Amino acid sequence: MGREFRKQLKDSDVTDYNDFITRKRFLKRGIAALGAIVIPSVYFSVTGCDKNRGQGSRPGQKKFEKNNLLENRSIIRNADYQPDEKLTAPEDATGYNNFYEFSTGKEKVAELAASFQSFPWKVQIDGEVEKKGNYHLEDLIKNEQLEERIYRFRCVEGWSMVVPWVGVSLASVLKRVVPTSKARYVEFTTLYDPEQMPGQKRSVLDWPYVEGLRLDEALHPLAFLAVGLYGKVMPNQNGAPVRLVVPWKYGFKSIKSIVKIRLTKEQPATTWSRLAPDEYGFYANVNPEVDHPRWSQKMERRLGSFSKIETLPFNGYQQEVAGLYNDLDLRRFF
Amino acid sequence: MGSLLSYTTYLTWFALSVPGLYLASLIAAHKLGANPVDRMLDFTGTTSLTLLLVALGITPLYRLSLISNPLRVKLRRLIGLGAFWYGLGHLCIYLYFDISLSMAELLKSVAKRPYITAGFSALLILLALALTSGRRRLGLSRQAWDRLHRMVYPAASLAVIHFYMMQKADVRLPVIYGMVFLVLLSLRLIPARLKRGA
Repeated sequence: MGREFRKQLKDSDVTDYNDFITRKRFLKRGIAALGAIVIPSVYFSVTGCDKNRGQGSRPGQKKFEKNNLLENRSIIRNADYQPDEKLTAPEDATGYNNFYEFSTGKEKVAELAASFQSFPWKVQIDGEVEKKGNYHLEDLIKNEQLEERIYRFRCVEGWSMVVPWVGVSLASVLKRVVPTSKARYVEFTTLYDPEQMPGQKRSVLDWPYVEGLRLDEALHPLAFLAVGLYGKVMPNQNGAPVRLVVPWKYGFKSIKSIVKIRLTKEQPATTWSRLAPDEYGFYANVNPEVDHPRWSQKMERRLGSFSKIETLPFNGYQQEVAGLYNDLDLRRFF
Repeated sequence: MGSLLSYTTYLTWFALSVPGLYLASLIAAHKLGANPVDRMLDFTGTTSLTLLLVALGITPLYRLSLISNPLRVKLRRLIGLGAFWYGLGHLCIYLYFDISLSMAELLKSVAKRPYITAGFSALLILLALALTSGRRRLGLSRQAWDRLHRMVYPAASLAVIHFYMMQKADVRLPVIYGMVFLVLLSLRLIPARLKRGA
């Protein structure tokens, strides 16, 4: 593991020619100026030496095949998403997880997910697309530029965090599989495997977990398919190996450990909105003006903090995404 | 007997202080986890409700002749007071960290949020019981005191409802508390009916 750590640091520490070229291509594509390429070594210094990441093999345990999605790949820091906010401590972001597939206890997930096998991993692309298929995850993202984006993340329960995700634009992956003209929504499904995910042995939710977006939301530049966190492969407890991140929506929309992406004509029946339709809508845009029926959404608390701060409309991404909802009554379609 | 009772008193006080000392040690060591306020709220709330149910179990122990009447009176009072103090701590954490001591916000929440209405009502009942828990009983007659202190059952059920209503999907724990409460309630009802029948 130490070797992997050094290698990653070396790969990303140097601004080499390839990275430079990639940057030029990015600028050409009109994606705003991208900043330094260095994955800040500060993450590595704060994360320490992978105490319980669950990757790699340990004596006396099942041997894991390594999820190496970030190996030999350049990661570019997207300058558009570098908010001037303090990053959440990695131990908080990786030690406090709503991932009911493992446990409803947020601080129990990391341990229960430690032996989760996230490699090899296939993602089935299905429905209204021209290039249906069961893709290896690495093939699905191999032609996309890996980016690092720092996003705010707001849970519907009232806590939030600011973390650097590593991944690819969802839109670029979707365009590569060519949605048909009939496609209007995207449905995502989490792995169902009660042997590996002990939380699925109880029917606390209707498994497998399903989430969805309107196609225009999914094609929005902010929508992100993340395969890493803090410069490393995605920790199991955060949704390894691949998860959605839609930062203007409540966290439950950002589905983890995705095995299926299906483009549909009809709005997908999403897990939480089926369980409690009066509490969790399909849209679930962060909105301080619309209370959860049982609690207020006006304030939030950053992980690691005692005090509360005000919640912003669309979690602070109003400028970017409000246009998607010009014709929508956000009180009715919460 | 008198010395046994005072010995029991000290032991009970000590036992009641253990959760508080544990929480204090977590705070001192910065070991409250990623969401420290939620952790404190959860801990004090669960401790309060647990103690309340333990207090409700004291009289059944007496009816089964497992403890003496003076011991029953003593334990019931001390443990009930413990439930009140942890409940008060729970409220104070909420007032300070969640609503920044805003009384307007408190009134609004009590009026608008059913789970807060339930929790707050439970604590008001416990306050009335705590104030009248001493020997003087604030001049209440025996019957009036008995009637007032039977309100511990509505208080406990409101506390369980408060706990239940906060859950998103996993209601196992509040359901277990609710079932324990119902068992304790029926333990109190059945002997009373038997006596009446006899």
